[in-house]
Amino acid sequence: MILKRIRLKNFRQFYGEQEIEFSNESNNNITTILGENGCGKTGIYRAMIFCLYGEKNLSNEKKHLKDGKQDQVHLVNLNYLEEHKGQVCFAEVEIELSNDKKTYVITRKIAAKKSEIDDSIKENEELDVSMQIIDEKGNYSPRVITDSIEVSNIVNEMLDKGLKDFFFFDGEQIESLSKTDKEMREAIKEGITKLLQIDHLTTAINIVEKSKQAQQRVVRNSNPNSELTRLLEEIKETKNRIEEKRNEKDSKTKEYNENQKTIETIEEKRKKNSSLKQIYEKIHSIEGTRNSQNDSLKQNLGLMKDIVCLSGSSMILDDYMIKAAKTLENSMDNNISVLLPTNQLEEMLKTKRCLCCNREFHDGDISDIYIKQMLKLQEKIGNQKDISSIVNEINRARSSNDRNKKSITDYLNRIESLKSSIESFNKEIQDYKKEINSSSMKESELANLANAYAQLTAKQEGLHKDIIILDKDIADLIEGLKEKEEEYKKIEQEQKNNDKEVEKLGYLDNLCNLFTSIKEKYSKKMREKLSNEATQNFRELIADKDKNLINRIEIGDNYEIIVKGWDNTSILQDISSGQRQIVSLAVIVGLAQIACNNDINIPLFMDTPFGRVSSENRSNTISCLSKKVGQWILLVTDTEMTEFEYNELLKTKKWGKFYILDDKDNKGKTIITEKDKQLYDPRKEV
Amino acid sequence: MKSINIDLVNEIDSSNDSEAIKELAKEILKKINAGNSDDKIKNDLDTELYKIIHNQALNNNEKDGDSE
Repeated sequence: MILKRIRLKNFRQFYGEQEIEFSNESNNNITTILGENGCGKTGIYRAMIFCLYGEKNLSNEKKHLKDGKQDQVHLVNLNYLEEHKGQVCFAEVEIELSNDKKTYVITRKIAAKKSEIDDSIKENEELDVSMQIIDEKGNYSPRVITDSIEVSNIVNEMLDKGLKDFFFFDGEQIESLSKTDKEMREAIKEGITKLLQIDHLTTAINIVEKSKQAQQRVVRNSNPNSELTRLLEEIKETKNRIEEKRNEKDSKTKEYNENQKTIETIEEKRKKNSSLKQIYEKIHSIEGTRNSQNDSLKQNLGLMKDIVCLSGSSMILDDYMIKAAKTLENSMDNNISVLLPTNQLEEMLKTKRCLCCNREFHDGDISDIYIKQMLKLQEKIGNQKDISSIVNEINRARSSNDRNKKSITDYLNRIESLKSSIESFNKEIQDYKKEINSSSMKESELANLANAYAQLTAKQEGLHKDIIILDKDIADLIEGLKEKEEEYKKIEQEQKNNDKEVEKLGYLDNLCNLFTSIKEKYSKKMREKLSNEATQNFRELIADKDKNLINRIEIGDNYEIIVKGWDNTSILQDISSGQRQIVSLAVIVGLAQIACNNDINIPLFMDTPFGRVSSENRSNTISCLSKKVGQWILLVTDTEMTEFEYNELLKTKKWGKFYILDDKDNKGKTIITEKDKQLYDPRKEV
Repeated sequence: MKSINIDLVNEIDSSNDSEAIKELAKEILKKINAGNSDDKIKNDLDTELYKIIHNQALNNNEKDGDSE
């Protein structure tokens, strides 16, 4: 950026329209503006900041305003406001500058009004701005830019607002640059990073970091690894379950088939042995009859046994009984007859009266004798009766024997019949059993077979149901498995995509690290370069006697200016204000040299440049800066433009324009007058 | 004055940074120098990264195909 001219209209002390043209050739790059205190040197400095950056206050004033130690400066000329009391008045600054082969004309206005009632002045906060761009061929841009932000962006492109204090400054305060407070360090850091484009690397890091953070969120939110592992486990588990179910089904099917075979065998056997059942039934029936006859046999035997036991002996003696009865019958007198019973005879003897004729008799009477004979006969007859009884008894016994013999014969016959019948039944049973044996199937076996058949049939039903359920389970599991496998494939694809996202994150991470490395390396390199340039500049700017005072100026890791003495200790706090001003200038020029690659095209606009600088240092400063900076604008007081400085400036052969600010009547109506420097006599002026 | 030297990228001697990464870094710096907005640079970077990853995947597939 090279300043070409500034036009001021009713701005601060400058009543009406005033204009300054700056020397802007490389071999004619110094402009001096001389003015006494209060004539408007700082007004020009302020007009620069106002027009370029839209700021109403200088940097050093802002803090005082904030602390309430200073009132707002009025930008509109007070005389003009007074003359136009009650009316809206404008202050206007126009700057023409060139940058990168283009010319820019920036005009900024501020409105204010002075009250007719209480003389209070109210300045508008809103500023009007316009920018006209003219290309290298002199063509004007088709539109005038009036948007303040757009204008600011363009100006910042040329010289960032953050850097303005490095190049537009009050020389008496520039020493603050070398102060070590945090605020200043931050300002230096910002200035250096912007001027050396380290901020571009910061921008690059921020962009990549932002992209990286977004990518980290993408990767974090779409990490399917755990889902994939889970699905894989589930698929494995489902496959195992299917295998288990299939094994179970196979086992049950095998069992079912075996059972079926067994059932078929049983059915076959049962079919084959179906006649056996009837035989067994017959056997049971025969056995029933046989057993009944057995019982009857036992009963008959028992009865026969009883008869034999009771009458056996009698029957054995039967022959003897016949003989005895004949013998006894033969011994009996069959002529004996007794008419009266013994008891009546005995009665008649006792009563001595005949019972038949009722006649009495006496002992010895014939009747008596007869009766007694009758009694004797009666006794005899009585004995015969006993024999007869025995015979009768024998006969009766024999009769009983005969009956018993008959009964026994009957029993024997019956027993014989029963035995025969039982024998017959047994034979029949035996025959049936032989028949059963020939079928090799016993009834118990047949029953077992029937039981087995029933159990197996029931079991088969259960197995069949189980197999159906297993089939359904397997089908469900296979369906589930398919779904899981599809989901797995889908997530696997996502995984592949995610791998790409992870890869992208890796790239961003590497990119971020690369930019960070570049920034660290570049910053370090630039700080070293700046340290070297600043040290070199300082040696050129400082008086010979002080050249060895400072061994090196360094820019520290935190962008603080470190001044090292001959013994390499930090001596910034020990050097004078003038020396600190030289240190600051050395750093600023070094910064501009590095930023512009030693072809400095940034104006150095210095208000009160030599206030605290000794004459020897002034000589060095004028000589050095005229060579090092692209454009140098000096706002000097008469004490800074003595014959010495005048001659030193002339010696540079780069001194172009020379202006004098004049407010003769001290009425706040400064007039800017261009002076021919050759005709200027500093001794006369002083 | 506002441009940063993109060759700074080459001054970083890091074997871990592939040429693709360095080219990307240069492109980003070029775009910053040209005054592109951060969002545009970020979007372009995303696009470039996907191109690189896609091409790399294609190359890998081709290599796999050749080796088979």
